[in-house]
This record gives sequence, structure tokens and C-alpha cells, in this order.
Amino acid sequence: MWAEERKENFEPKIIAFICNWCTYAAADLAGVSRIQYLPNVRIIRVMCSGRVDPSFIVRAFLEGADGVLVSGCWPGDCHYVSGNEEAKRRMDFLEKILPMAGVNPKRFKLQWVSASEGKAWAESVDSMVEQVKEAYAEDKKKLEGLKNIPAATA
Amino acid sequence: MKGKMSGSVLIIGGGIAGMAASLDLADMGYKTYIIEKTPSIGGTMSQLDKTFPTLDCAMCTMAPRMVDISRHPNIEIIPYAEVEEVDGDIGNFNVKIRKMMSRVNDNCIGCGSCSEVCPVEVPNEYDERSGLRKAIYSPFPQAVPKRYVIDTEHCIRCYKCVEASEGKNCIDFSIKDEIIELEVGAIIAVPGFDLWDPSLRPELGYGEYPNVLTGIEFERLINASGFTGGEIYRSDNEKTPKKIAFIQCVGSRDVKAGQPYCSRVCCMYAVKQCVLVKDHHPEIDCAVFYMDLRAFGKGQEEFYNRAKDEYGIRFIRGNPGEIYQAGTDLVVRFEDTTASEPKEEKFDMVILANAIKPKNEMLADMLGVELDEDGFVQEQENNPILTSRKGVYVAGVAQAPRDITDTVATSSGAAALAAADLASVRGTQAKEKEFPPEFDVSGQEPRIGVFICHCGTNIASTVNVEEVRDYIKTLPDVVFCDDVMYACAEDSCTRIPEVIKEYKLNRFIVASCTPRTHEPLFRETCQGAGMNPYLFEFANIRENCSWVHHNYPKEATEKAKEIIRASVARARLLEPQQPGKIRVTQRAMVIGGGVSGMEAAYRIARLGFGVVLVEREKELGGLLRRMHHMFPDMDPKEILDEKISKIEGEGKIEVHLETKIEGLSGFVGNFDVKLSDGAETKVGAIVIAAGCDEWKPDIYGYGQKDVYTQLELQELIANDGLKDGETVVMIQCVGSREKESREYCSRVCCSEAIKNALDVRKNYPNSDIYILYRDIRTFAKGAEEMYRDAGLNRIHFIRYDIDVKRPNVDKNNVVHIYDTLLQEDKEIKADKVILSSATVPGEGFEELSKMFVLPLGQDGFFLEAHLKLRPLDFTSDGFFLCGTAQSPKDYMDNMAQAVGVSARVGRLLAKKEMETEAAISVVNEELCIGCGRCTKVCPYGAANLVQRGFGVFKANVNSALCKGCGACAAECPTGAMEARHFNDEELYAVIDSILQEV
Repeated sequence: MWAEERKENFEPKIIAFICNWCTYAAADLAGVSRIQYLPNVRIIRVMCSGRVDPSFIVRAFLEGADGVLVSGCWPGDCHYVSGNEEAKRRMDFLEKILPMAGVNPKRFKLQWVSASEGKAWAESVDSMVEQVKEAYAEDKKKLEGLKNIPAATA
Repeated sequence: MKGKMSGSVLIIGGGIAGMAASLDLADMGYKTYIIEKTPSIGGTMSQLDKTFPTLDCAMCTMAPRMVDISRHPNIEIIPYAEVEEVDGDIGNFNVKIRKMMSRVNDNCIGCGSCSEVCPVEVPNEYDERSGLRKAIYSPFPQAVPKRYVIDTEHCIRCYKCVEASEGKNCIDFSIKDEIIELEVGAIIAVPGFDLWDPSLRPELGYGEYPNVLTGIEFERLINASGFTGGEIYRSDNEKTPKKIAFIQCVGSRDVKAGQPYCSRVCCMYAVKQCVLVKDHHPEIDCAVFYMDLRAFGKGQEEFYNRAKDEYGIRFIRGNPGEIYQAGTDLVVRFEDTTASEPKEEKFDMVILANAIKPKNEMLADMLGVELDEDGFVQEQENNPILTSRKGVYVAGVAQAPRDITDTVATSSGAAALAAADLASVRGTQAKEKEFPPEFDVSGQEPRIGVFICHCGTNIASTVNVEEVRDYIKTLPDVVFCDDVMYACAEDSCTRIPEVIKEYKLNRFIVASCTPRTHEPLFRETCQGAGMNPYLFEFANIRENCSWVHHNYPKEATEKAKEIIRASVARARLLEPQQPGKIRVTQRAMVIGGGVSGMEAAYRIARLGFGVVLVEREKELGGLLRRMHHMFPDMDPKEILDEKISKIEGEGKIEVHLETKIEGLSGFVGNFDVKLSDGAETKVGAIVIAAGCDEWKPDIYGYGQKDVYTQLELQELIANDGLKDGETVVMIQCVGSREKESREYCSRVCCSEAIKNALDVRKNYPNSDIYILYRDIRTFAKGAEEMYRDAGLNRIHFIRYDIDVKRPNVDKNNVVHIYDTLLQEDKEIKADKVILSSATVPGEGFEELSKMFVLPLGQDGFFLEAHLKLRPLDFTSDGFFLCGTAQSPKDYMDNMAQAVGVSARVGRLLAKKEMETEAAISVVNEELCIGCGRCTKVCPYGAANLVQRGFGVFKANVNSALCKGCGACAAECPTGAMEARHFNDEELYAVIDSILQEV
């Protein structure tokens, strides 16, 4: 359904897997400070970014997510010592294979946000929305290009 | 001590100070009574809208604590009562208490049907007499206990309430005042404060003009729970004001008015109120008239800057002399001191920041506690919590004006001192929390209940709660769904177990705020109904939705639906979890041997626990060793000697000097610490009391001959390094209050400079002394008086403004300054230039932060769990902080925190056993192929391989070590490793539900 039958004003839906201790705290801080950001994101709280199984992200894309954001503590700050390093290793790998599966790499992002960075959280959501919109425009163009190819050769 | 010691403590006053002290004491194992004059605990904080500088909703942060108190097995609230008489001594006081006739008995369930029919309406004290209440009433919706009382003064005895409550037998007009007696071992008095009557300055028009209000009256006006529902309008014409003036220091810093002291909170609450006004109505113009803007606490200068820069609030330096009404306008006459001209400006509402006054008559008359000349409690031994009567302690505003953060620190401190007195009888009158047996949900179809919270208007003003409720009702397995005003308040929390029983629910969801603060409360509430706490699910529709999507009400409403829908999807799959138990090492480690660290170590030891005190330097004392005379008039050497001898004499404190932390492993209750001196030790709790440093300036000619910092000046004075007749120029805010580098105020420099200036004056009577300042922030007890003294002692104060022109010190130590009050440039040839250099985070902060994984704030100081209500805790269990590790502060405030932190540590160490994480990883051995990948990613060594046969290995998880991060489950290639409570099925269900096409 990606890039098909979308409204004029494409509003992406983004799933964010975020860790309880840093990014979730930052999202709380954004809330308490009333820092406004776009409503396109749906937060799924996990205790650690190290809990994020690459299959969650694949599942989200398969079920129609327009973008997936994974966020946890900055390297060295992990509440569970090294979970974010495991996350980084897994996400780096995933980033390599997503394009092979036809997923525009702009639709996925791994971002560190600390507990005191409420503003950074808000900005990363907004920039993710922007990035996914770009991906949408790119993919749409690609798709239109494909449609223009005569049926016999397509 | 005569007779048997009592293991209970009486707390007089149920405001936030009494609440905080009661929870600490009760958790440490003491029976605690709170006696409160009004029908509910909550005090002034319950009247507040938001709290500065984080703009946390006051009720949201305190309501969970009110509920905790009402359910605590060791706390008994005695509302609507007063102390009659106190006899006895430390260890066994006998207290007579008068319970005022409320004419409502224990049968009251707080339904409110009596109040509905009551025909009498009287001004509501909770709304500062602006709104109305009935003669039979409960003071506010979240009141604890939720029991109505009859105000006998106004009751007309129509008995309509009795008719309305027929059959419940809750109202009884034969009830008379009742005297009860309590035996307690210690008393904590937290009477709170009064406010000065601003009509005593008739020129300001309070009482004469309806639109001149006090700060607290305005607080009720802008509060969503107030009598206008948070709508700001004038009481005479019901129009929204266009311009509001805030006038500071009304009765404070005013010898004539009787309050020579600074009330300490008014500047910040005025700034906060301006910001709240702007949030509601960006078009309203707000102007603050002030003399010195005192934003000295953590995060406050930053907040003040935001108010100026982002919200466009005007700050006018001038003290209005008169307010008069012209038509519907209020005209404020004032002198703008930065323009030296009298001005008039029209406003249509004026808010007066009237002074805080002590309310200590009871303390003096009944407890015989010595008061100071202002009527505040005279502290003893330089400890703001100690009174002249043994066994009687104070907290909060009783000793001096204080904000909530500082109040809570003193409350924990009072709890610690009372607990230390009664350490030998700890636990003798305490009970354990008991829950009904858990019901079994295995094999049952999910039956889900949902509460959706309005949070006053915090959620409801953006999210259409009713629409969300109606949608959630349609979801499969949801058998109950309702919306509530405050899910965390007593009334709602009482309903949860009721609906669980009534609808036979086996899962429960609350959709409100963040699980990071409120999950424990709701889990416990569910436990009260026999439901396993892990069958509770939280949906965050405030921090993650309403608060951050003000401008998208439609989208926010849809988002809230999806958030709760996903929670419903997860709730269906939730399974009960059981925690394990671990032993607690009843010993603490304190890092940092300065004033705070030494005091904290001593106080923890006094509670009966062993302490390991670790100091980097060769000797204890920290910054104290570099001081020679401390504000207000203390000898640091004497204090140091006394503290060291206390530590040596205590016998439970092991001191490690010239020692650093090499390594840390383990977890709350069981930390293994390696020290650089080779020692290895086991502790249950760790206190960060590392101190701060004085910044080495790189400005104002520092490094030139005769340019010093304030600490260096102390040294100079002590060694007679000045000459009489010299010109001494002090520059304030050197490296502090700078947006580019250190935005925060260093809090101590103003009193420090003035004290030093007076010392120079005393020793060198013919000196010329100048203090160049931006705002004089002498908020501490005795500091304002000292400032006045300095003026009388020919110390010249010159105000500068970095936005107009920065002062400059040239090569010849000539100080160039633009005096904003005389509007002229000045040059002063200084013999000594003294820089009030910023207080900066200690150099060890970053290393400690990394090693212990504890957060630092943007200012570089350690970040506490909650600025207002948990200033001494970290969010990570088992870690605590006090003193300048948290933010710059003076000796008294450091003492309060250091004593206070011992109570926080005591709460943890009081139990020999604590529960471990229940949501841990478990292995399904049938699926496990023994590849060992889980063992490689587990940071705690909890996952191991065990041999199950010849060449057959299976993973195994040590439940005491597992913290439930789930890294192993994400790594497992076969799905054998399950992260309980966050398993794959639950997370897939959440993903699918969010993305489900509707």
C-alpha cells in the first residue's frame, strides 16, 4: 500500500521504539516543557533500545508503517550498560538490508536522545516526518516512472 | 529519658512538608500521625496550578503522594483537628488533640450528595474566598481523606443533608468536639505560613479595587480547577484583561511593614504566572515590577530568560508607589529606576506578591520552641531543622521562607532526625503493606477495564476525552470504560478496585500521564483488588499527546484513540508476573567528603547503618577548607573540626581518603564497589555528595596582579593581605547568568560578596568598597538584613546590565562600568578587583556520571528524579544525591539536603529484604539451541549456559541479576528467550494495533 492511494496531503504514520530511561524521559520532558511537535509519531515504550528486535521493524513496515524510528540513550549512557550498542549493531545491519527489500532508507532512523533532551526529541520527530515525506515523494516519482514504461517491457 | 520510648512520630501540618516527612518516616518503619487543621491534607501546594520552573502540574505531582499517604499502613491522618497540649520529652511525648466536630462520621464515602442539597453558600477558602462552597463540604475534588465536614459556624440546621444521606448513617449532629491522646517519640512541626495583608499598604488599593489581587488569589484564578475553570477574567466586568501588572516585594524586604526579609518565592511565582497567562492568552501583556529579580534556584534563571525572550514578558525595575483607578483602568505610578523618571501606566489587573509570614504561634506557645525576631523558628547548631526543644523538629517555611524543593529537603531532614532519635524502637509500631490474595486469571478470556483521565484540562483541552471514551468502549474485550477528572486522585483510585470487582475485570488500563511517575500507584491500586500488578497497562495520552500537540486537537484525539487501542491490544496478552526477593546490604556509601558528604554520612550512621565515606583529597572538608568566614557568621574551621570529630566518634563510618571509585557492579541493595586504595566493599545505597568548584575566570582581568576571586579574598583577609584605605571593587555574576556558557545563577555569590565586603569594612575601616551587581539575590535567612547593613556601612552598590553594557577591567585595574541607575559611565581605579566567580560542577562529576550511569543536566550538575518532590533521589534505584552535586547552594541549604538524604537512604536500607524485578527474561529450553548469543549480550552476566546432558547446553537466566532490559530476547535466533512483560507477541500486537486500518 506504500505510495498507493494516498491522500493529497500525505501524512506519514511513524512508529517509534524508544527506551524507558533516556528517550522516553526526553519525551516526558518535551511534554512537561510543552515543546510542540508533529502528531505523526506513535511511541512504543521498551525498557531498552537493546530490546528492539529487527523483526519489530520489519513487522511495522509490513503492516504499513510509513517510517520507523528507534531511539535510546547516547553511547555510554545506557541504563543497562550496553543495550544501545547492541541496538546500534542490529540497526546498522537492518539499514543495509532494508533497501534490498525495497524500503527507502529514509523511512528508517536510529537516533540517540538523552533524558535531558526534550527539545532534541521533538526535533527528531519533526525531522523524521520531513524525511519520510521526502522518501514518499521520491518513491512516488519512481513509481510513476515505472508506470510510464510500456506494458510489454515492464 | 523517662518511661518507654515510642516508635511513632507526630507531624503537625498536612502540607507538602508534612506529607514528605510522613512518607519517609513511615517507610523507615515508624508509625506516623499527621494532624491537619483543615479537612484535607495538601496545604498550599494543592492550590497551585503549575510549579516553577518546570511547569509541572502541582496536583499531578502531589496527588499520587496524597494517595500513597492515605493507603500507607503506617500513616494515620487526623484531619480537622488541632493540638491542645503537649507534655513529656523526647522519646515519649504525650499529645492531646482536639478533633473538631465535623458532624460527619466514618461512614462517609465522599459521595457528595449531602453537599448538593445544602442551601448555604459561603466563600471557599480553597479558592482564596473567591469561589463558593457549601456549609457541608469537602475542600477540593482530590481531597484526602475524601470525607465531608460540616462548617458549624455557617450551618443553618435545615437537616437537608441528613435527609439526602438517609440510610447511610454518615451525618450525626450529636457529634461533639473530641479530645484524643497520643503517645509519640518525636514531633515534626510544619505549620506552613500566613500571607501579609496588603491592605496595610493602602496606596496599592488592595481591598479597594476589585482587580487588585494577591498572588495566591491569582493562582486560583488561573488554575483549571479554580472557580473560573482557569479562565482569566476581571470580577467586575467579566472581561479578559489586556494588561496585567505583577508587583513584587509587597511587604517583603520592608522594615516598616515588619518583614525585613525576602520571601524567597515571589519572583519565581510571578514569572511562572506570567508564563501561564501567556500560555492561555498570548495577547495579554504582562509586566513585572521588581527591585531585584531573584531567580536563584536550579533551572530558575533559565526559566526567567525564557519568560523574557520567548514569552515577551516585560520586566520593569521599579517599585510602584501608588495604584489608583481611572474608569475601569488601574493606573500604576512607579519610577523606572533605569530611566530615573516617574511614570504612569494603565493596566486592567494588578497582582501583588505579598510577603510570606510565619505561622509559628502554636510552636512557641505549645512546644516552647524559640523563635527569631521575625517569628520564624530559631535554628540551632547551624542546622535549619533543629529547634531549641529536643525531639521537636521543623521543616519548610517554619524556619524561613522556602520553595517546594527546599521544603521537601528539610522535610526529609526532619524525618531523618526524628528517626535517629527513635532508632532503637524502629519498627515496633509499624505494619507491612498487605494486599488481598491475587485472583487467578489463567485460562480466562480477557475482560478489560479502562479509565481515561481528563487531568483537569491538561488532557481534555486538547483531546476530546468523551469521543475517545466512546470509541474505546467499542473495542473487543473492553467491558468497562469511563472518563475521570483525575485518575490519580483518591476518588478515582478508590473506584478502580470497585469496578474491577463489579465487572470481574482481569486487565486494567489507565490512559493518562507517564508510566515513569504514575505506574507504581496504579499497579498498587490494582493489587488492592487482588489483581496482579502486571495485568495493569498504562497509556500515555498527556506527555506523549495532549501536551505536545496543542495545535492539532483533531489529530491528538485520533492519536489518543490509537494509543489506548494499542494498550488494549497489549493488555489482552498481559500475564501475571511475580517478583523475586533479595537481601539488602544495610550499609551505604557516600562519595565526597565535603560539608554535605560528611553530614550525610554522619546522619546515615545515626539511623543505625554503616557508612563508607570516600574522599578524593588527602583530608575531609572540601571547599570548607578554603573558607575563613562563612555567611551569616560561622567559623568554617570550628564546623570542620566538629564534623570530623562526630564522624570519628560515631564508630560506624569507614573513611577512605585519597581514594577514587574504580569500579561498580551490582544493583540497588547490593552494590559491589572497588576503590582505588584496593578495598572492595558491598553497599546497599550510594549517595553522590561530590562538591562543586569555584570557576577560574578568564575575564575581567583575572590573572593580572590584584585581581582575585571571592575565595581568594577570604584568604587575603585572613592573612591580612589588604591595606587600609584601598579601593576594593567586587564584580558579581562573573561567569554566571551567561546564556552562552553558564546560564544558571550561582546562588551564593551575592551574600558571599556582601559578607566579605563587610569583613573588609571591619578590618580596614577606611576602604572604599564597591559591589557591581545585576540583581542582588540575598534571599537566605539573614541575608537581606546583611544587605541593608552593607548600605549603612558605606558599601557602594552599582547596578550594571550586560544587555546595555558590560563592565570592563583594564590593564591598570581601572574598572569601567555603565551605572544603569544613574545612567552614566563610571571609572573606578581599583586596588583590588574581586570577582564573584561562578560555582561550577566539580571536575569529578562527569566521571561519576559515566561510571554510575547517572544523568547530568544541561548545567552540568546531577539531575535529580524530580526537581520539586524528589530533589534527593536519582531515577536509578539505590542512588541518591545532596548538596552542590545537585546545584550550587549555601551551607544551610547543603545541611538541609545532607540531613534529608539520610532519610531517603534510610527508607531503602530499613528493609532487610527487597523485591527484585519481576519482568525478567526466561528461557524456553525446548526452543533453545545453546548457541550462547544471549550470554554475550547480557551486560549483567545474568544469562549463562548450563549443561543439560552430554554436549547439550541450554541458556539459563539468574533472576537476581537480570534487570529486564530484554537485549537477550532481541538477540535470540530461535525465540527461546522471552522478555517477560515485553515479549514478542505483546509488541507485535501493539505494532499491529497501531497500524490497523479502521
